[in-house]
Amino acid sequence: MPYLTATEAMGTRFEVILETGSAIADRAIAEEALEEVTEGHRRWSCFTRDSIITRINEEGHQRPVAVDDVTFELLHLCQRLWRDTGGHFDAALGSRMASLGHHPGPAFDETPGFAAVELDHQHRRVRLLHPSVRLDLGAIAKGHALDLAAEVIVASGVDRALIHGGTSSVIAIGSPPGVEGWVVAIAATGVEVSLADEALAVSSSAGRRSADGQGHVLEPTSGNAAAGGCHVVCGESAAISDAWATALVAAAGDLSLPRGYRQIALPIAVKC
Amino acid sequence: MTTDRREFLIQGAGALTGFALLPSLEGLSAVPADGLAVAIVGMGRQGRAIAGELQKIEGVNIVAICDVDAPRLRSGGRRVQGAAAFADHSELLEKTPGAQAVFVATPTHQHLEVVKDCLSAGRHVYCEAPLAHTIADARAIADAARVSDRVFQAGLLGRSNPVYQLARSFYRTESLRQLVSMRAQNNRKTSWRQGASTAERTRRLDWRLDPAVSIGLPGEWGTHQFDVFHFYTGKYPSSVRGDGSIRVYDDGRTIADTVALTLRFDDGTVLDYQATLGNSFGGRYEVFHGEMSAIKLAWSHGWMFKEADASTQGWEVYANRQRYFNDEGITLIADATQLASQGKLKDGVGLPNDSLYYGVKDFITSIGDGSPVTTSAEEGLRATVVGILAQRAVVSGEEIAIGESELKGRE
Repeated sequence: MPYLTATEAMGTRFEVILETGSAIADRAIAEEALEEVTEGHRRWSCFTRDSIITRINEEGHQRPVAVDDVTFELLHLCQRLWRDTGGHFDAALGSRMASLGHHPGPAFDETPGFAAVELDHQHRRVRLLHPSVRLDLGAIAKGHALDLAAEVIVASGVDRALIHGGTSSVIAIGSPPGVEGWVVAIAATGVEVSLADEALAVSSSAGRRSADGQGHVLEPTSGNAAAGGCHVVCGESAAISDAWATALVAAAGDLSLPRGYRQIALPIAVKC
Repeated sequence: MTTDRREFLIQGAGALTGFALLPSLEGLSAVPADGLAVAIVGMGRQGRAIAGELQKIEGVNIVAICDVDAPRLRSGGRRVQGAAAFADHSELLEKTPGAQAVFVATPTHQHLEVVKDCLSAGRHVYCEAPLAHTIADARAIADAARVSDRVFQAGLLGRSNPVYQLARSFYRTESLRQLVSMRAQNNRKTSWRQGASTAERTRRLDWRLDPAVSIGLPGEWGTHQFDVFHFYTGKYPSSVRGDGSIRVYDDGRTIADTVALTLRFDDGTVLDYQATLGNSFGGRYEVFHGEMSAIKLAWSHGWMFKEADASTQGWEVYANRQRYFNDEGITLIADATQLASQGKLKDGVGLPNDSLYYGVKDFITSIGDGSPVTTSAEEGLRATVVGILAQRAVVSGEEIAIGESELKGRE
């Protein structure tokens, strides 16, 4: 019987389902995988005082901030995706998110975003070059934590598992017995996707909203909440899928995905 | 510059209560001027956490890592890019003579050999707590540290934690007045097993469940929390009684997943301790109940709950408070004077780093400027002995005396 366990992190619920034939091993492996999620929350939340992201946001304007390798790797990925998406995925719009009421903290109506984030590869340091810049990794942190958790599961010899974060990011490892993949339904669309050894990410302008109704995905040139609908991306990495799904919402779908990633077609005008 | 009444009162409070005497959260530059090369032995969860905190400190360079378990060594290598990787700590010591300090985060029962070899090789040592799984091994570690001219720090983090240091200053200025009782718990929902693909690897990684080497929840978790009470009161318990059972994980283990302990002190005070792997409610905390107030400590946060008949200090009018059902706690904020002067007192609630960061940084500071370590080998030994005897009480079901002779290293 598949083993299911869960943890609360990054403002949502993460679940792992797996089956090795040993209930003891199932639990141990699932716990170790979810430790990666908990650790990701501790490091990358911009809402907790002891995270490295909060530290960068508080001190990175005055001096370069040294960070751990895993965080630096994630920030480097954010920078690459910011470039690859033409700025439509931007993990440095925290102050604009604050101005739209998504979270507390310094609020700015305009910010250069990731263009003003400097990564020093030699010394593994991060510097914020404009007073308005605040990191808010959002969905990519969730996706990266899932990627790390999936690595733990695979390294433990498990060949059949499903792990998701808040149902908007999913990684399928192998497939259930007798079928080609894990069937994931995209809520309110009628669309089902069969996943095997692949990640799926959903981003929607109709998703999380601030108290005054502002969406959480921003159109980077205007800084306003995007109205780019709902987009679903599948590929090897949950972090990269999450970033591209977000970028598609910000760009109203007008982007080409990189090799190895595909977009799932949804009914027109659907809200997911 | 003018000082308004609010600032005056807060700053005055700082002086009265001792906040102003506390070091800054960041402190002075910790690292020796020419940088510090370090190594980590043991790349499990704790070793990886140590690596993450070290990487936040400017000037520290992790040049080598070690683990006998190949998957853990690989996983560690991903987190510490550029570090040389070894499966044997002797080889690490031989091939990385530039590593001036070693962090020992192996399973508890393997500490002794690694610590002795590192000190013999002239390296400074940070050893995770508990120091060892037997009193003899813990004494041997303390002895090796005493005769060495290298810096040795035991990984008991309460003594380095700025919130705990601040709360201790309240404790010492008699904010509690007469100590009434003490209580602590550590509740975390986890099987204490590690995911492993082979039976051999499972045996190796699940050492906490091996009765031959494990000192159970009292030893592995309790040691850290007992030391907080030692740190505050300056006293060690004279006896311990305990109960333990398997409440949730009936999977063939014999190490209790739930324990309750009573530690008695010579002055009549009692520390009640409970820990479980079966439920996470309340997490991990320590409480001192005093005649005039209670102090609750939860690693990144601390609160003081005052009795109605306790005297009121002027600064309390402006203190940050949090409500707990029928009680209201004053939040204990490290660096409060500085934050208050910047109008950022509320921003100071909770520590800006994991408590591990402060322990690691204190060790590096001691290497850099020769200042005394925050947790000595002797303090590590005494806390470890209490943890080991507490586990013995759980296993035997008997009250175990904790004598002065047991708490001492060799003369």
